[in-house]
Amino acid sequence: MRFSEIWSTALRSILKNKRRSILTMLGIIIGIASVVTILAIGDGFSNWVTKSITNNKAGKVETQIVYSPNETANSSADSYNDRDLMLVRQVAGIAKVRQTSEDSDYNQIALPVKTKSKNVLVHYTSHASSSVIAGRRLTATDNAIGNQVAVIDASLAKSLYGGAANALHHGVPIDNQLYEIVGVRSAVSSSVNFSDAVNGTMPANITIPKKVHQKFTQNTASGDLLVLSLRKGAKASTVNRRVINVLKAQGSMRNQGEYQSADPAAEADTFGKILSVITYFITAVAGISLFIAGIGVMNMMYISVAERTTEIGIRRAMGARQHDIRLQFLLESATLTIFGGLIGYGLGVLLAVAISALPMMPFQASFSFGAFALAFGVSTAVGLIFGVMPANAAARKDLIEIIR
Amino acid sequence: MLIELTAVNKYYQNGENKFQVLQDINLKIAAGEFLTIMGPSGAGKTSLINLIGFIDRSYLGSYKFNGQSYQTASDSALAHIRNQSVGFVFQNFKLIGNNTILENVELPLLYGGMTKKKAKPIVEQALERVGLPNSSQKIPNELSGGQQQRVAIARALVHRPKFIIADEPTGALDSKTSSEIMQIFKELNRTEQTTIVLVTHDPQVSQYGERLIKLLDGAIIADEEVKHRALL
Ligand SMILES: Nc1ncnc2c1ncn2[C@@H]1O[C@H](COP(=O)(O)OP(=O)(O)OP(=O)(O)O)[C@@H](O)[C@H]1O
Ligand SMILES: [Mg+2]
Repeated sequence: MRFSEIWSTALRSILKNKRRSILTMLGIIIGIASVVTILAIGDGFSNWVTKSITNNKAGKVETQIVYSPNETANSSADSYNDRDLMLVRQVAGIAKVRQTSEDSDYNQIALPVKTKSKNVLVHYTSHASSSVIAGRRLTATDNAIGNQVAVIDASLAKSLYGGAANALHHGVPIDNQLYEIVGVRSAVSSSVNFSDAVNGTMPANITIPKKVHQKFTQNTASGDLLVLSLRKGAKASTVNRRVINVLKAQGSMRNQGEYQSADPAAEADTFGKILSVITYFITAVAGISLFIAGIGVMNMMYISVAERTTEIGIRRAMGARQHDIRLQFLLESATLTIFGGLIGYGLGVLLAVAISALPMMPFQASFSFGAFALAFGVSTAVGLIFGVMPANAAARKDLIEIIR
Repeated sequence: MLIELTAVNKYYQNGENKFQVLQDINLKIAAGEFLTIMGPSGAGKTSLINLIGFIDRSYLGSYKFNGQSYQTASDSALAHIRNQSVGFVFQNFKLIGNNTILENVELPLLYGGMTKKKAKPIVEQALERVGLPNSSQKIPNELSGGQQQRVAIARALVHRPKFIIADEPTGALDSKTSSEIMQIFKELNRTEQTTIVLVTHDPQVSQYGERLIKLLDGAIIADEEVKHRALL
């Protein structure tokens, strides 16, 4: 018989036994649906991660290590020294290491005032400072040529030197450098100055030229942040873990503070870990489900073969070869499982769409041809593998015995 | 000679003891003959025609069909010769219950390599011939026993086989239906010279054939011409 006719025979036989066929398909449907769902969500997730990680400038993957000192630590000490940087550079997966501070124009320092120490806010500016009540403002030129000068506020001038006028041309120590006080502005503890607010600058107790300050602090390369550029293929979480291990063991400040990873993809990583656990779990469940479904198919086919002994005999008498009978039953079980697989795929797609519609999901499920091919392939394979034995049993039936 | 059996013996192994079903059968059947086989139950009639119909090939001796032996042929070759040369009619009709009449009757054509589309008009024609027009979409259970046997005959003749084997085709039918069925066989033999080998217990039925063989304990005890052919 032609293949197409054998196949249509198999198809009709399935349709003639709808209820049994559907029940047999159920296991396949569940198994395939869960695999398809988890694959769609997994694909959607990895698309999302790739997009969000490579979103930084130049499409490079960067991660960060933050050092935060303990409360008791000497805060003026450097977070990373050259040896630290060298050690980090040697970690596998790292292309480049860059140290930066959080790049602020403001800093809180402890200033010795008489016998006590007072916390004051220092502003580093490269522009002119706001208006003063005594002396002169800072100018852009101060910054450009590097005048070691400062403008302080009236209350600080008072506590240091007893008054605004007295403070002029005296010095104020900042980061172990003495700055000449050239101007005194209104006290900052009072309400925020309008013009400061317009300039977008926050009133600070001390204002000094940025460039001058940088000149003194540059070679000490202050900054708590290490920006790590990763090599292609390196995994952010792995690299970060390695770097932190190195720093924890050998970092210069390991006893004074803590190193933490500030991986922009860390959230994604955690999610990914959970997702991969779920994927393994669901795949295992689906695998078991498919295996049991396969046994169900086999059982159903054996029953079918037993029930249709007469039919087999009739077909054989009419000229069916063993091969035709085997193919008929094999196609029957494969068609059944392929149907189940397709229904399962549809169900899986619906399920994945429903899940990615949940408010807590930050990404859309993604459907690949691969997942479809997998669903199709697996369901076909289940049908063929578990259908072979019943089909052979059908083909091997002794014609003389069954025709009587 | 279409069918030629020479010194055919057949045994069934029942545990320790061998049971002989066919004893030294010598039988020649020419193309176009209408042969009837009679004999008591257990005489070996079914065993004999299964052998002739290429269903059974575990026998001793020689069976030549058109001068060729198929005793050592492969399963595929045997299936092919069955498909091309033999039409089967069984006592209990042996139709596939959940298939339509069309699907039942087209089987020999499909296994002969024909498409369903091509087979359909031929099937309709065969059904018309056995007196069942317009019933191709029914299922066997919707038909009476006599009608089912007509379907079986349609299936046996649809592919124009060299010979038709009918094992007690009227065994489950009343005498009126029996004679209608036998009339179809008779017609087939007369108009198309289809060779017919028919097994029956009914002396009435044996009257339709032209040659009668009597079997007893696996041996042919009589081979005679039918004198007063019925309804001619
Ligand atoms: N497969 C078998 N194994 C063992 N013995 C068998 C087998 N098939 C048939 N027989 C025996 O062979 C003998 C002949 O059987 P067969 O079916 O040929 O008889 P029959 O003439 O067709 O009888 P009936 O008129 O009842 O159909 C019987 O005694 C039967 O028990
Ligand atoms: Mg019999």
